[in-house]
Amino acid sequence: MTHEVTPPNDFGGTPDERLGALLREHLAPAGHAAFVGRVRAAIAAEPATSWDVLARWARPGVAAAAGILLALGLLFGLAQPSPSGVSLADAAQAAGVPAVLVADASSTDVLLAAVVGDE
Amino acid sequence: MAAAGDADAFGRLVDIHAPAARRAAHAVLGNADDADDAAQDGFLAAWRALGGYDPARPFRPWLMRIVVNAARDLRRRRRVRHTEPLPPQRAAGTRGPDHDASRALLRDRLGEALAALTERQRVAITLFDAEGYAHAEIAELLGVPEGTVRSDVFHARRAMRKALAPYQEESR
Repeated sequence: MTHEVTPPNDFGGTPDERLGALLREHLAPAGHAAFVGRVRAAIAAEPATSWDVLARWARPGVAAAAGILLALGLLFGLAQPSPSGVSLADAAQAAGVPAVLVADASSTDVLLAAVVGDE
Repeated sequence: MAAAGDADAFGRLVDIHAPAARRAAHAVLGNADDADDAAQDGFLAAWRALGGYDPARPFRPWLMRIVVNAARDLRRRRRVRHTEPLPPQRAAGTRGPDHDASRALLRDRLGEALAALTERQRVAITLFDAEGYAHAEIAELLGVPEGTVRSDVFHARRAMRKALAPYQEESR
C-alpha cells in the first residue's frame, strides 16, 4: 500500500487531491448531527438578530420622525401669512368684466386692459 | 430567507457548511474540541452579522472568514492547548503490514506534521488542498498578500511530504 502525496508543482494553482483527502480525513469532525443541533439550539437561544433589533428600533423611530415632521409642518404653517384665496377670475368678476372675456382671455394683459378700460 | 432572520433557513446553512467550518477551525486550533467551540462561535457571529452580508457575494468564503477569525480569537483568549506530537515509540509500535495500523500511522504522522506548521501554513494548506479555495480567496480571507499564501502552501506541502516520506517507504 502506498500513500503518494503531492505532485511536484507546489506553486501551481491546482489542489493536491491526495493530500487534500488525507487532510480532510485527519481533520474530519465527528458527530455532525450533534454539532448542528448544538448550533441550532444556540441560535434559538440568541435574544435577537440584528434585523429584530433594527425592526424594534424602526417602529418608534418612524413614529418619532412622523411626529417631528408634523410639528415642523405646523410651525411653518403658522409662520406663513395666510393666502388671500382670491383668484384672477374672481377679481375680474368683481370688477364687472364680462364672463365671456374672462373665459376667452389669452393672457392676464387682456383682462387687465378690460378692467382698466372700464374704469 | 436566512438573511431575513429565518433561524430554520440558517440552520440548513449550518448543516451544509459545518464540516468545512469545523475542519478550518481544527486547522487553526489543532484539536477537535476547541475547533467545535470556535466553529459554533463563528456560526453565531455569522448569524448576528447576517444584516451586513452582501448576497451578491458567495456565502462560504464570508462564513469561513468569520469562522477562522473566531478560531484565532479563541486561541488568543484561551491560549489553547496544541495537539502534542505523538512520541516516536507509539508510532513505531503501530508499524506493520496491517492496513488499519498503516492508516493509523499515517494519520499520526500527518498530525505531527500539521502541528509542526505555523498556524497560517496550516490554514493555507487546509483551505487550498482540502477545501479547494484559490490562493487569492485564501489571501483575502486571511488578510495577507496572495504571494504569502502561495509561499505558505509551498512550504507546508514540502514539510508534509518530508514528514510522510519515511512512512511511505516503510509501508511499501
